[in-house]
Amino acid sequence: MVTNFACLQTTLHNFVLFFTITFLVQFKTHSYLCFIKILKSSVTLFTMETEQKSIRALKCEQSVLSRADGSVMFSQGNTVVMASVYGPLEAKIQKELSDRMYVEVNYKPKTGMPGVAERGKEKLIKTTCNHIILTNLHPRTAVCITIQEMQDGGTLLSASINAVCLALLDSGLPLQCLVAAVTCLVDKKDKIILDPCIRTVKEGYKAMFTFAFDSQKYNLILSHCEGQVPYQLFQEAMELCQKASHIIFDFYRQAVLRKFSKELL
Amino acid sequence: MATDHKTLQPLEFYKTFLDRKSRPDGRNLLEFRKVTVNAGSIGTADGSAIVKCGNTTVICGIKAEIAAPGMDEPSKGFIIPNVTLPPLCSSKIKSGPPGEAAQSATQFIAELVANNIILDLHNLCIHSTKWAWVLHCDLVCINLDGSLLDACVIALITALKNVTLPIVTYDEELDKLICDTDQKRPLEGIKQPVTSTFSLFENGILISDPTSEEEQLAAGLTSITMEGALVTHMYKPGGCTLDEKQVKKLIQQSELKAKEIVRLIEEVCLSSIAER
Amino acid sequence: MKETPLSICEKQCVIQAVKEGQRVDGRSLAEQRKTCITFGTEWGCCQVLLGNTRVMAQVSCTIQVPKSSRANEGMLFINVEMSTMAAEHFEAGRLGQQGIEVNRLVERCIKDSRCIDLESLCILVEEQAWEIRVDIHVLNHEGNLIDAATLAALGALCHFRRPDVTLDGREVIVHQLDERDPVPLTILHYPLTLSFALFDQGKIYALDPTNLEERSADGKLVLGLNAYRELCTLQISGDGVFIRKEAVLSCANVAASRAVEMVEMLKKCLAADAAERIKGKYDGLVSSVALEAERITTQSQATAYFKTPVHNLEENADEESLSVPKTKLVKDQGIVTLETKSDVSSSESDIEMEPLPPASVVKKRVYEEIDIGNDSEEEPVMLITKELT
Repeated sequence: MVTNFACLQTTLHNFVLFFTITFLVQFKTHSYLCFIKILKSSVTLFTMETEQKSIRALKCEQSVLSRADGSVMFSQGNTVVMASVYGPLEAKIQKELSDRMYVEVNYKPKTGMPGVAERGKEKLIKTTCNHIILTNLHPRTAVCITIQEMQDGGTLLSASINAVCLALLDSGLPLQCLVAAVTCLVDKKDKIILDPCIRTVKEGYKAMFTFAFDSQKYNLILSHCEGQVPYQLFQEAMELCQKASHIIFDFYRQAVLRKFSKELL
Repeated sequence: MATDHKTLQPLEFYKTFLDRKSRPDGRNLLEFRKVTVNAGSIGTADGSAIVKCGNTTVICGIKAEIAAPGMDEPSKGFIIPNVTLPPLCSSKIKSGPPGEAAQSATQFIAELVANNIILDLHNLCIHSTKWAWVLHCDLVCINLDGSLLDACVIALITALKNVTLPIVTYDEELDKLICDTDQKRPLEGIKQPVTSTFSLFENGILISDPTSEEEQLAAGLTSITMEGALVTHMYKPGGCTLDEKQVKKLIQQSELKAKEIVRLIEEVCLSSIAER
Repeated sequence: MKETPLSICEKQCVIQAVKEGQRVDGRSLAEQRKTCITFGTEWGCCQVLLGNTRVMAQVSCTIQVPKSSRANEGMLFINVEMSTMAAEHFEAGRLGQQGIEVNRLVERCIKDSRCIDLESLCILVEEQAWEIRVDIHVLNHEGNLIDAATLAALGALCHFRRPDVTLDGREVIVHQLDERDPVPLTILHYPLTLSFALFDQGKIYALDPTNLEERSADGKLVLGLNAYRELCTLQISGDGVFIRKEAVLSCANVAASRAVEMVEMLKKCLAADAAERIKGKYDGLVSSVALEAERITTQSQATAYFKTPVHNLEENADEESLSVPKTKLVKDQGIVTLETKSDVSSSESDIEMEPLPPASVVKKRVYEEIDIGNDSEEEPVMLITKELT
C-alpha cells in the first residue's frame, strides 16, 4: 500500500508539473515564430562582427541527485556547475515571511570557505530567484537553493544562474518566467567575444559583462560588469547577449521536453 | 488622512504620487537629493571625507600602511575597502557581525577597486616586489536612507583625493626604507567614477536616488557607475526587468549626474587644499 | 530542516530482509554498489559515485611556514563540506555530528596512516613548505558517506599535481603550470575505508550500506585498509553493539579483497584520465554529465542554429505538432483531471497485475531510450514525435 500511495503521489506530482510545462509550451509557441525571425535576422550579425559566433555547447542532466526536489548538473563549454533546490520547506522562525516564500541561496566554491565574493554571487542569484519564483504562492515557507562549482571554464556566474533556472524547472516550483544568463567579454582590441573560455579570460580583457534576460520579453533582469567601456560597446554587448539568450531558452525547452516525454509518454 | 493611507497601503500611496510624476518628498522622478561633501574632516586619518546625499550620511577615513606586495602582482599596492553599517544608522540594522547589506556594499567597492576603476594600483608601489602602500578605507554609514552605494563611492573618491602620503624611498644597498614625514604629497591618478542608484517599479516607472522607503517598495534596484562617458559598472541584481530603451535612459541620466558630482568633488578638494 | 523520520515498517522491512540474507536494493550482503570515478580538468579534482551517493574532492596547495614541531615536513589538511544539497538536514557552513564523524574518519584513514610523504613537501626547513588542502564536498547523501569521501580524497590526491619549485639561494621560485611540468605527490600506499552496517546485535553485517540501511542498523563497523591488505583504521560505533572477533576477522577479509579491487580500479581510472589528457581536447567533468544517458539534454553545437535556419524551422514545426494535443488538454481542464485518474489507475493496476501484457511495450520503450543515448541526443524531439505517431 505504501508503494501504491507513493506511486500515486509521484504521478500527481508529475501531472502538476506537466500542467505548468504545457502552460509554458503554450505560452512559448506564440512567441516562438517571432523568435525564429529574430534568429534569422541575427545570422549576419554573428558572422560579421564577433570573434566567437555563438555560445559553447550546452549540456545538462536533470534530477541528478536523488534527495533534492530539483537538481541539475549543467555544463557550458568546460564550465560545470551543479545546482539543487529543496522546497517549499518549513521556514526557520527568524526567516519566515508572512506574505511570501523565503529564498535561501548558498554558493559553494570548490576550494576553501565561501568569502565575500561568494556572498556577492549569492545575492545576485537570490534577488533574481526572488523575481522569477512566484513567491507569493507559498507564504511562510522557504526554498533552499545550493550551487556547487565543479569545474571553472571561465563563465561560472552565468552558468550558475542557468543551472539554478534548470533546477527550479526540475523541482516544479511555480515560476513566472525563466531566466537565461550570458557572459561576454570585450578584449583589448575592443572586440566582443561571446561566452569566453577560461584561456581568453586569463589573457586579460577590457571589460567582462554578465547579463541575464527573462523569457517573457527578453528584457534585462540581471547585469554584472567588470571593467569599463563606452556606452556604444556596452549596448552592443548587451544586444549580443540578448540574442544569445534565445539559444539558452531553446535549450531549456528541449531539456524540459525531453524530461517529460520520458515520464509521460 | 495621508499618514493613515501611507501606513496602511504604502505601495498604493506611492503609486498615486508616481502616476502624477512626483514623489512624496517633492522631487521629480529623476531628480536626486542634495549632495553635501566635506573633505579632510578627520584630523587623525591620512585622508577623509563626509558625504551627505539627502539624509544618507557616510564617513570615509583612510589609513595608510606599508607592506610587502603580493607574490603574483609584485608592483601593485592595495586598497582595502570596508563598509560598516552600525546599528545606529537604521532601525533595520541589528548589532553583530556585518549583515548582507554591508557585505554586498563592501563587495561592490572591492570590485570597483579590483577593476582599476578607483585608482591604478601601480601608483601605490614604492619598490617592486619589496614595498607598497596599503590603504585601509573604512566607510561608516551613520544615517542610512537609501542609495548607500552612491554616497559610499563619492566619499571614497573624495577621501582618496584628500590623502597625503609622506615621501618614502627604498635604499637597496642598505635594504632600508627612508621616510620623509615633513614632505607630504597627494596621490596621483585617482579616477572619478560616480554611482547612481535607481529604483524600478512594476509599471516601468524609474526613479533616481531612492530613499530607503522607496528602495523597499520598489520591484528592483539598479546601480550604474559612470566615469565620464564610460560605463564602468552596471549592477542590477535581479528584480523587475528593463528593456533597452530604459537602460539607455538610465545611462544618460547617470552620465548627467556624474558630471555634476565630479564638479562638486573638484570644488571641495580645491577648497580643502586652500585651507591647508 | 529536520530529517524525515524513518517509519517503523520501513525499518523492520530492512531488518527482516537482512536476516533472510537479502537487501532492499537486491544486492547480497557482501556486495558493493556500483562505483564510478571521474576527474575534472583541474589537477586534483575527483568525483566519486557510490550508487547514488555522490562526493567530490578538490585538492589545492599553498606555501606556508611549517610547524615548529615538524620543521622538515609539509602539511595535509582535510576539510569535509556538507551543504543542504546533499540532504535536507545538513546545513551549509556547519558540520553536524555526522559531518564531524566523516571528517575525522577520513583524516584517520588518509592523514594518520601517513600515505602521503610529507617530507617531500618541505621546501626550506623551518621556513617554507607546501600545505596540501583537500576539500571534500558531499553532493548527495544516500548512505556510506565515509567510503565515498575517502575514495574521493585518495583519488584527488593521486590526481593532484603541484607547481614545481626551485631554490635560488634562499629565494623560492614557483614555476607556473605552463612553465614547467607540475609534480605529483609521493604516495606511499593507498588506504581506503570499507563500512559494514551491523544488524541483529552484530551477528549480521552488510557491506556498503545505503542510507535506509544505515538508519535501521544497530551499529557500524568501519575498516581502513590499503592494497597490501594492511589495516590502518578500525572503528565500531553504535549503541551497545558487541561483535565477535571472528566476525571482525571475516569482515576484514572481505574488505581486504575489496580494497585491492578498488585500488586497482582507481589506478585504471587514473591511467585512462592520463591517456585522455595526452590526446588533448580534454573536457573533464563535462563528460561525466553523460553518466546516465536518459536524463541528459545536449545542444552539441549551438552554431548549427545559425547556419541552418531552414532545418530549424522544420524541427520547430514538429515541436508544435507535438504541443497541440497538450494545449488542448489545458484548455479543457475537466479532461485533464479525468486523465490523471485514469493514469493513476492504470499505473496501480500495472503493479498489482504484474506487468504481463504491457511487457512488450515497456521493452520497446527502453530500447528506444537506449537508442537516444547512443545517438548523442541530437534530435530528441523527433524521436518523441515518432512515438506519438
